[in-house]
Amino acid sequence: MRDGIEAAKQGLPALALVTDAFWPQGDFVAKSFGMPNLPRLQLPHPIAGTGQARMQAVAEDLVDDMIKALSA
Amino acid sequence: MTDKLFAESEAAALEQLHAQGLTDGLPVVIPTDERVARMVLATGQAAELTLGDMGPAGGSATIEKIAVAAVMAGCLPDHMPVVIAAIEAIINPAFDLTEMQATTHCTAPLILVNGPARAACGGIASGFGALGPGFRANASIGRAVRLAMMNIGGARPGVSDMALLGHPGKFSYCLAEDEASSPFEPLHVSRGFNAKTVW
Repeated sequence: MRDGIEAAKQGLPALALVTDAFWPQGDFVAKSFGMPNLPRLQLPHPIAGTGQARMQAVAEDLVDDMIKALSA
Repeated sequence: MTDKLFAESEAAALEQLHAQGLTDGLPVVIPTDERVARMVLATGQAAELTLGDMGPAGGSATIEKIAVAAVMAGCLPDHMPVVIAAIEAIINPAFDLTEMQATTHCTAPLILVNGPARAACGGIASGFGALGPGFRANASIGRAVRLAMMNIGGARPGVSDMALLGHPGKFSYCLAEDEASSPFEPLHVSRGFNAKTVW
């Protein structure tokens, strides 16, 4: 979220990828840093440590939504 | 100005504070106007003076809000200089409070008190069991800092504080250096200060 916020503040297209377990924290951070509407996509949790094959599958599931969000 | 809550009795006030997630789960001293004003007075600073912002919520750490946390924690006015110094330390950007509060790691800031403040600020224990129960200054000072981290900094378990299992030191984590018994040079000297430094 912080990376996305910093990118957005610099005028760059930004999309935060947040797992469902961290979704409430994402909301909290977005509001705290004054960007409550920062675009974000929800990922299944966990992602870290689940292996390259699963990360590849998650990425393939989300890539169209990512492109769409960043093109909006 | 700190937002105020109203209740019909201290018992009702305690339940209200618990219900709003403003406690650490244990009973607190109700921060009435009179108690907070007394704590502010002990700092010698204006109530509205701010020491900086506390992340991740970015709340302004005013003397008054810190005093509220200190009252709730059970502090004596004598403890306030150490509470204020600890807050100043954790809001230093080099400490990275926002990330520390939000991380999945189970961290808590250790408050290690050195020098004359050990005796002058309520008798902060340094010997047997200093990090355990039984020492009011240790328990209250550390708890005040934690309540400030929660209620000014906005750390909430599972929402903005993602520590996986937490840590007992998140209730309180404060002790003094036992300079008289220590075979090592005092902490402030090891950190590069003159041996006679007093602040």
